[in-house]
Amino acid sequence: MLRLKDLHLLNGRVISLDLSAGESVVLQGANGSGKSLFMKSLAKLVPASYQEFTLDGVPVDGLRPEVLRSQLLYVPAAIPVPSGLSAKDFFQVAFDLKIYQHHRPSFAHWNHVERWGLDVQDICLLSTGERQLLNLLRALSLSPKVLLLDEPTANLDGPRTLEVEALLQEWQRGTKASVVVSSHSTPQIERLGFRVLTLA
Amino acid sequence: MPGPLEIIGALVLIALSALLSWMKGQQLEKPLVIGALRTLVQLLLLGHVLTWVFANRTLLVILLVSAIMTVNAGLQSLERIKVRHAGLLLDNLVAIVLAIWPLALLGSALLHARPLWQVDMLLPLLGMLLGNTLSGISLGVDHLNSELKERREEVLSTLALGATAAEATKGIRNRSLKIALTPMLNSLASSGIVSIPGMMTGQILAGGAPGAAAVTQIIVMLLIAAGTYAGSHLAVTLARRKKFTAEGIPCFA
Repeated sequence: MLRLKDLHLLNGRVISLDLSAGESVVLQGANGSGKSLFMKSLAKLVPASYQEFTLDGVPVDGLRPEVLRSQLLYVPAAIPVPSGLSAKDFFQVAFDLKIYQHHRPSFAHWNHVERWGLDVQDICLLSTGERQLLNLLRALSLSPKVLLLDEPTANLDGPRTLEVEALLQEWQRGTKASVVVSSHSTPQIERLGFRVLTLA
Repeated sequence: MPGPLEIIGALVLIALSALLSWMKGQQLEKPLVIGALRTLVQLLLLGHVLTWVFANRTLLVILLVSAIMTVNAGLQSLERIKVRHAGLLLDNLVAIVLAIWPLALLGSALLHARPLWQVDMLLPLLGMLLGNTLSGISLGVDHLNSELKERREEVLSTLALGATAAEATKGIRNRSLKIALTPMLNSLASSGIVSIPGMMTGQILAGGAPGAAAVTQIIVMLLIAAGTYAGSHLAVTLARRKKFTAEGIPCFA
């Protein structure tokens, strides 16, 4: 589904990757090895050159950038949060983008927002970990083909980490989407059971 | 008619100011004297150039002078923009020409110039429009640059969600335009109450009837307002486009 041949990152590394539908990888590598850079390059948020880069057999060069980014959805480890936005507004802001006007996303993952106590009137009240969680739940509702998760559980406690991992696996089974996730935790890498891509 | 003697009389004031600044160690004497001399030389030259242009009112001469004024405005618009990307001068010139030249012709029509390119009408109009528009352009583009840099992460995360470049930068663009238009909006509000606009002052000092001067000034102010809006809008839009590659990859560091 995703085919990538000789992607040259800005830091000089070269990466090739083949992902079939529903298959996932976990990125491993030291700080500064380019895990975030790789995901940003996939979403064309930073420049990168490549031999081949196709999505479902279609070269991504023919896709408008917003189409590519809605299908290869990058979820950063930390996002700047404008104040005065409720959790619901935070979802709605994304749903209102032009790209989602046809296949209107739903509040399907709202039960998790409520269960984890993230349904606040102003998301400034949330901790770093909680914001990251809310951002992840919003990304899931946008139904991308590939979810690019930058250390999604770095700021979470142990039990919540396990819940998020379970949610990810459940979401994936339901949607046949792929996940590319970076992690520094060896136990987590083992638990997820994804193919490992090491940036050395 | 005031002449050289009267100018010297006014220059004495600058000499006195400079003297006082020198005695008090305020170090303003040099800029004061240089500024005064620049104004003297530039305006005397302008007077001569305009006299010559008015005497040779062919379309070619008018076009040439208009082009020189426009390019000058484009160059000056760069001065207050701290970060200049490639192609900025050309973009600003395009914005200035598209916004201002039609308005200068329209202004001539509204002020009953015959023909439309009647030079003693068109060139002063063009000058006033250019001066005001270029300040709007530099304020707007400079703000766009700095806010894009400041809110880089916010824009990137909005783009990552699938926003178009226009969606991700809408707020920043609107604020840049607001800032570009603020001086003009202030002068619209204060003219006639706080200040007598320069052009009207000149017309009255030269012996014109205040009523007629007011009508002309109103028309000119409205043209300037429209010109500043159109010019800033175009320049900010063109500058925003330069912040993304042809592939849509953001390139504002």
